[in-house]
This record gives sequence, structure tokens and C-alpha cells, in this order.
Amino acid sequence: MSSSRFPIPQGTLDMLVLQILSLEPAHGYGIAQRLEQISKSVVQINQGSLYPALHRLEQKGWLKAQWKQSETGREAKFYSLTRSGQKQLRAEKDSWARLTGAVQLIFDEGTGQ
Amino acid sequence: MKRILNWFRLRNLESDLDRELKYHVDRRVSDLIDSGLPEPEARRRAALELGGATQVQEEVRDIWLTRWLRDFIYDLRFSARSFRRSPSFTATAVLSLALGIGATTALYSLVDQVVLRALPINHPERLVLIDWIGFQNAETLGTANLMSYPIYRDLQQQKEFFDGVFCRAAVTINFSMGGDPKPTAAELVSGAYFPVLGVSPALGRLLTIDDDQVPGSSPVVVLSYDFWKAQFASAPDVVGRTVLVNRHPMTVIGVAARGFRGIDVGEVPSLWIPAAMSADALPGFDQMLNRRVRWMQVFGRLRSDVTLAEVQAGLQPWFKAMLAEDERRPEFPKITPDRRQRYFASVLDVAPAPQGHSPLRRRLSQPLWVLLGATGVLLALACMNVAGLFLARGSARGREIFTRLALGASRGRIGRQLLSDSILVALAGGLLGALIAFFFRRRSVGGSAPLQQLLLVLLLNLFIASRNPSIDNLAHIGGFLAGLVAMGLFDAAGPRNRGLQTAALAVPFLVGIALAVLGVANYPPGSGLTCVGA
Repeated sequence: MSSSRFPIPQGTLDMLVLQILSLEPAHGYGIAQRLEQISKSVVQINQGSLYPALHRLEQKGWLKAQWKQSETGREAKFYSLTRSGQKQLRAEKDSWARLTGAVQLIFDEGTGQ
Repeated sequence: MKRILNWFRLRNLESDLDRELKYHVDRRVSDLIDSGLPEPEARRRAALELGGATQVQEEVRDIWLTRWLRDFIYDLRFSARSFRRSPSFTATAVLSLALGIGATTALYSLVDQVVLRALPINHPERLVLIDWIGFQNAETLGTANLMSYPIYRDLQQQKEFFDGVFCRAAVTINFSMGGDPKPTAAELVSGAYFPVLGVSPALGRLLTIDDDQVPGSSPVVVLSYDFWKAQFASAPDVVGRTVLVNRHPMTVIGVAARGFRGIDVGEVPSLWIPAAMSADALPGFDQMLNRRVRWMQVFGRLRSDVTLAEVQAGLQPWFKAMLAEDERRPEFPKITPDRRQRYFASVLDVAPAPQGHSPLRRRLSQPLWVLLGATGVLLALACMNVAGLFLARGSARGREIFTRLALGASRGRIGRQLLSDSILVALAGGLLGALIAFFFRRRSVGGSAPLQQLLLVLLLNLFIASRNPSIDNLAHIGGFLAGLVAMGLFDAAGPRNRGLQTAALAVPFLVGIALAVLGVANYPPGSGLTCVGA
């Protein structure tokens, strides 16, 4: 819980959720844990914003949900990517790459002078 | 769209989300306990991390339904609860609107049926009624726009003006399938009737030109769809059966298209008989080919490349020639010079008839419009009644509204609450009104005995009384009157059209009385409001 972690940039949570789910279906808690692991002590994710994000993505048709038995034996709501979710992830990755590339370019320009 | 669907499964969504969040918290708590935290601390930490389950739920709900939509549902629920608490107010408001809307809708549907609606045929706008204006010097059989059958045959030759011409006469025949004969409405038609109108058969075939060449040669009938359904139980093998028309056997050759009910809304035929069989259909009548007996209306379908005025002008030379030729015929009755002058002053009129032929329409269209206007005024009165009621209720609700304002509700929010009240009442009133109008429409096709209707009205009143013991007596009377009005409406458009005018006249008065009674019944004494409906 160090304060050196910075809050996640706006709008990237959806992309991260899609990315995690593109590997395998997972329930909300699983996604939260995975986010925690991946981002370790770098990015701070408010768990409270995870569920609204999941429901927003489901509403948009990018995720589908199903109640299944989880690893503890209890029923949990598992989310998985739909076909249009996969397409969305590709599009978001693409635009992310272009954005970071462009930002990098501007930074490089700055150091060049 | 998805959001609107979410309306209907809100409860499922809620319990789903509860389960989902509970799973998350439980897993987090057990993980934290495993890592060595004591349980209370673990629970606290898990809740903190999630940022409060209620807040998450709120946020997710906003995703399911947009904010205003959700508020609107809550408003409607609140409105419904408050209406349940004041049933007599609700009943009055809804009934007032239902009466106003029901009467207006019913009358409009009558106007539409009798005056406005075009026939269900191909291009009804090109259908014209051909009429002899002036003295025909012929024996008259029937009413309105009559000409002789031979003139129809002449007009059939005017191919540069018409795609086709047919003639028809409304008759009543004794129809039987072997049992007791029943008086039945029929239409005697020339063979071109169906082809010119462009009506198709639902079964078998329809009459053609060949069916009316030689008098007495074609003993066949075509049934209307409704008649086939009612009298023959939609029997698929009806084609080829023999029926008796005035005791003369005739063969059923087909059933006309569903929804086609002849060309006169005032006299809906059950079957069509070729004009060639007129001697059988009209006992003792053998004047089909007599030019001096006028008994049929003649219709034509204009060619698409001519205008009405061109046809009207173009037909006159032939018409004048025919007048002169007719006079030279030996059977032309001797007439006085005065009558002779009127005979030769005759013109042939061609008038658009997209709605077919109906003396009823001509007789009723003006009173019907006036009545529609009157019911419109009644609807306005009903609205004013309801508005007055809401006003009275609004001042009684002052305390509630001020409390809500004090608690921080915005003016807009309270306005929306009041709007949802109005929407609910309007919807209920509209539905009930539509129901009244619907029964009225049903009545105009089928129909039940007045006694049954009276029973229905009484039962409905008793039912309402049993549901709402607190309803006051005056509102009861109002309800009963409303029922009577509905009954009157049912009766209005029966097959007996003679009653229509008086029944329709009675409707606005009854509705007016009912509205007034309802209005008086519900104003709290001494509220200072006068009854608008009276």
C-alpha cells in the first residue's frame, strides 16, 4: 500500500480487463488479483471501480458472463471475451500503441534539441 | 435498447450483483485471514478496498439504466403507491379521461368507417360513380344514383375513358343451405365487378364477365369472407356446394378476399350474385335488359391517363346521342313537353367514389362530424375535470412537496414526480378509453344482445365496488352511467343503422352527465373549486 503507486490513467482499466480476459475467462475477484499481480506496486487500481467496468463492458457486448463453479467450489460469475470484445481489444491495443508512440516521439524530439 | 430490456429484469440483475459482490468480499476476507489478519480486521480491510458495496451497486445500476430512466421508474412506483392510497381520486381521474378518450375514439372510428376510409381495393382513388343527373323517364327500383343495366353495357364500351365499368344493386334475398331460409343482404353485380375493383378470391374464383352475359344463364354465387366464416365455419370445401337463393339452387364458386365487404358501408353483403340472375334474386323481376327501369348504380375505374374533367366532358356527346336514340325507341313512354325538356337537359355526372357508394354516408357524414366535434369538446371538459382534480390534490400535497424541497430535492426533480403522476393517470385513462372504443368496434362487426351488455355493466360496477369499498355513491352512479354510455356506443353501429343517429346523439349527453357527476363527486366540499364539467 505504498503511496508511490500512481492511479491508473482514465479509460485504461477497460483495456486491462479485456487483456486479462483474453487469456482466459475469470471472475471478478480473479481479475482483481491478476491486476494486483501484474501491476504489483506500480499502478493503483481501486477495486470498487472494477465491477462497474465489468458491467459496462458486458452491457456493450464485449464480455459475456456465466455462473460457474470456481476453484473454491462456490459458484462465481465468470466473464469471458466475446468476438466483438476481441475486436475491441485489438483496436484499443492499436490506438494505445499509436498514442504512446506519438508521445514518445514528442519526448524524443524534446531531448534531441 | 438493452437498457430498456434491463427494466424488465431489474430484480434478477440486482440479486446477481449481490451474489457477485458477496463472492468477492468473502474471497478477499478469507485470503486476508490466511495471510494472518484477524477476522474483524480482514472484513474491515476488504470493505475498504471495495470502496463500499452500496456505492458500487449504485454505480453499476447507473450502467444498467441511465440515471433519468431509473429515477423515472422510482417516480412511477411512487405515483402508483400514492394513487393506491386515494382510490376515489384515481378512479375519478381515470374514468373521466377514459370516457372522454373512449367517446372520441369510438366516434372517430365511426367517422373513419363511414366517411373516411377508402375501399380495400387497388387504387380506390380512381374509382368513380357514374350518375344520371336529371329526368330519366324510367321506372325506379331502389334509391340513389340509379341507372338501367343496358346503360351500364353502353358505358362499358367507353374504353378511352375507363379501364372498366361495373354496376351493382343492393338486395335482400332469402338464403338457405337446405333449412329455413333467412333474409340475407346480397349484392347483384355485373361480371366486371370483381375484376374492376381488383378484389382477389380467398377461395375458388370470383365472378367474371362470362357470368353475366345471358339472363338466367349463370346460377352461381360468391360468398363474403365473413359470411363464409360465420355460416360455413370456414369450410375449405365450400366451393361447389349448392345453396338456395329464394329457393333457386345456385352453386358457390368462391369466397372473396378477407376484409372486402362490398362497396357500401351501410349495406354489407353476405354474398354476390351475377346481375344475370336478377330474376331469381328479385322475385318477379325480369327487367334486366329494359332501358326504362333504373335499379343499379354504375361505377367505373378511370384510365390512368385521363382526368375526371376530361372524362366528364368526353362522355357528354355520347350521352346526348344516347338520349336522342332512346327517345326514338318504340317503348319510350310518351311524356309531356316539359318533361321532355328536362329529359334532354340531363347530364352524366362522374364523381370520385374511393369509399364506394353509400346513401348512409351522405345522410350521416355531416351529423357525424358535428358529433365528433362535440365529443372533442367533451374530451376537453374531461381534461379540465382532471386538471381541476390534480390542482386540488396538489394543494393538499403541499406539505409533502415542501418536505421534499427541504430535504434537498430540486424543483425539476419534483416536477418530474408530478409529471409521472400525470403520465400514469393519462396512460390508465387512455387504456381504458381504448378498451371502450375497442368494444365499440367489436360491436360494429359482431354484436351481443342489450341484456347481456346491461349485465356486463352491472357486473363491472359490482366488481369495482368490491375492490374499492371506499368509493362513494356518486362515483358509483358515474360508473354506471359510464357503462350505459359504453353500451350505447356498442349499439350505435350495429347492422340496424337506423338507430345509429339517435344512439350517437345520446352518447355525448350521457358522457357529459357522467363527467359532471364524477366531477361533483370528487371535489372536496368547500374547496372553492367549481365543477368544470357541469
